[in-house]
Amino acid sequence: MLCERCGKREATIHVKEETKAGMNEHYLCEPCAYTSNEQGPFQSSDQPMTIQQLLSNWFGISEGPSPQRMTYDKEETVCPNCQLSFQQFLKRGKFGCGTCYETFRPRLKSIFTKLHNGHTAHVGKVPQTFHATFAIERQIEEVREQMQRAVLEERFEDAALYRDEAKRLESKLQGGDHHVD
Amino acid sequence: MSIEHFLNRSTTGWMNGEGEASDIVLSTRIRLARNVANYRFPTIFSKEEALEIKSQLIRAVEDDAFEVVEMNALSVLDRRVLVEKHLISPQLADREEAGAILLSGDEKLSVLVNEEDHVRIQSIYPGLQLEEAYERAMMIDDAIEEEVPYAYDKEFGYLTSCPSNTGTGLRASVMMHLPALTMTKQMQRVAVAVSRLGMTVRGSYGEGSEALGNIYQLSNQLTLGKSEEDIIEELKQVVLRLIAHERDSRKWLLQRSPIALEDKLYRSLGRLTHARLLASGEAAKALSDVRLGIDLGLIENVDMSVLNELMIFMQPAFLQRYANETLDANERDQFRAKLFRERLAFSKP
Repeated sequence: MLCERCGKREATIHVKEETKAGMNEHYLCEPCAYTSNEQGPFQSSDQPMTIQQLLSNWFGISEGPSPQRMTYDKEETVCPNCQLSFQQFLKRGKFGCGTCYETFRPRLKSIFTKLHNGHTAHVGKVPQTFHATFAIERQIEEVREQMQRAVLEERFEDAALYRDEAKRLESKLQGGDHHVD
Repeated sequence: MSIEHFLNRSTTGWMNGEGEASDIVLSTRIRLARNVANYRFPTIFSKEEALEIKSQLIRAVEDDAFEVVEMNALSVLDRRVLVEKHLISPQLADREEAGAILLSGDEKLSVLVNEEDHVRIQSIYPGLQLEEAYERAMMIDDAIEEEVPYAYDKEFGYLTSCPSNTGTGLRASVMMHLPALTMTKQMQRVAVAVSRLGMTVRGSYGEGSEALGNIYQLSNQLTLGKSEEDIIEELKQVVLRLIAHERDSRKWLLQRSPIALEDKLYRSLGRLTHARLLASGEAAKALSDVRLGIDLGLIENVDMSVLNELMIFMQPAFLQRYANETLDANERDQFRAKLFRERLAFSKP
């Protein structure tokens, strides 16, 4: 059999590689087999071990039934935004969208604990726009409290002003800021 | 400036031999992973979503003098060239329609669009320059964030496709040439020690612990529970310890068997200047030796920047672009040998 890459030399090496599409098999000569390994420096450099393996080993997609797996299988949580199930997430090792984090939140703690040496919460950078969002949210709460106080004290004209102010801030959140759904 | 410029130049911003400890640290890379809020991640998004994100990001950096390169505008070979220059990842190179790269003129900063995450900001600096590379990446991160809302959560921080990047989305890597630690068989121990600190070290070229050309990449593994500044500072401390360790080992090698070492390094120089067939693995090993020889003052009359250039140039796609034709493995080895002979002959002062 001739090498399937160069078609010139005898194929002496049988290469099996696992890809997303399944198992790939190649019959190559020695020089071609060698050069087929000339991969760029990026190759898996960001992933020292495959996250999929890690997750499925630890969190229950094993061949046989394990106690952990049983508890997960009873109720299948599915992300309402991208339809990714928790089982699929474990299998692929990748989230489908930002909403997945929200959907799987209670179960993520144990995963992050394993992946990040016991850490489960972010302590780094906060986007500027989030600072702004938080500030407006706090302002709305304050204005609402003032409105309720005004209602209790039967200062209805003030209450109406506070209501308009709360509305204005809410529309600012929705329109002016990107981070509100 | 056009993309031709990026493709034709073999040297790139991070390869000019500047920066702290540049005899051992080749380059510093900062990568930030981000996603645009309310869109599905690239692992499952639709073509429409991909195109919307791409145009949003291109618009967001309009004022920042980036060269916009869309993947479908490049040939397969040209994409490989950008991979070999470490400017894009193979994953991005495969994204025909959705993928794009935004490149700064000095090639030190790039934004990869629609790779594993919607946004991957990457800055690469020569030598050990963690703070500088981080600052540069943060500037463009802030600029994009003003225009495009990021997926962010109070508890988990920046939301990424892979849970190993969640939080800061920061991967800081330092590429180091560690021949003496390798020769004295200490890298295994280094790898174990480093992993206890939440970092990894691995061969920068090729797979596994065997590093082609004794070039290793040290990077942080944790992205949650530590601030960006702490991640960078801790990595820097480990890099400084490794540099000291490598220098000690070099001294030890030189004292123990100076003639044997000098002989080994000069043989490698001979190989690069006289071989008629040079496979990439062999060339990488010999380059490492010659680099060490220059650092130790044993080899003179070879310009380090030429070695840096050859390190990039010797890779398959680059060779083929330079040769302007498709080359099979054997032809590549021949062409590579010729290139080394020519460049090293010219480099003599």
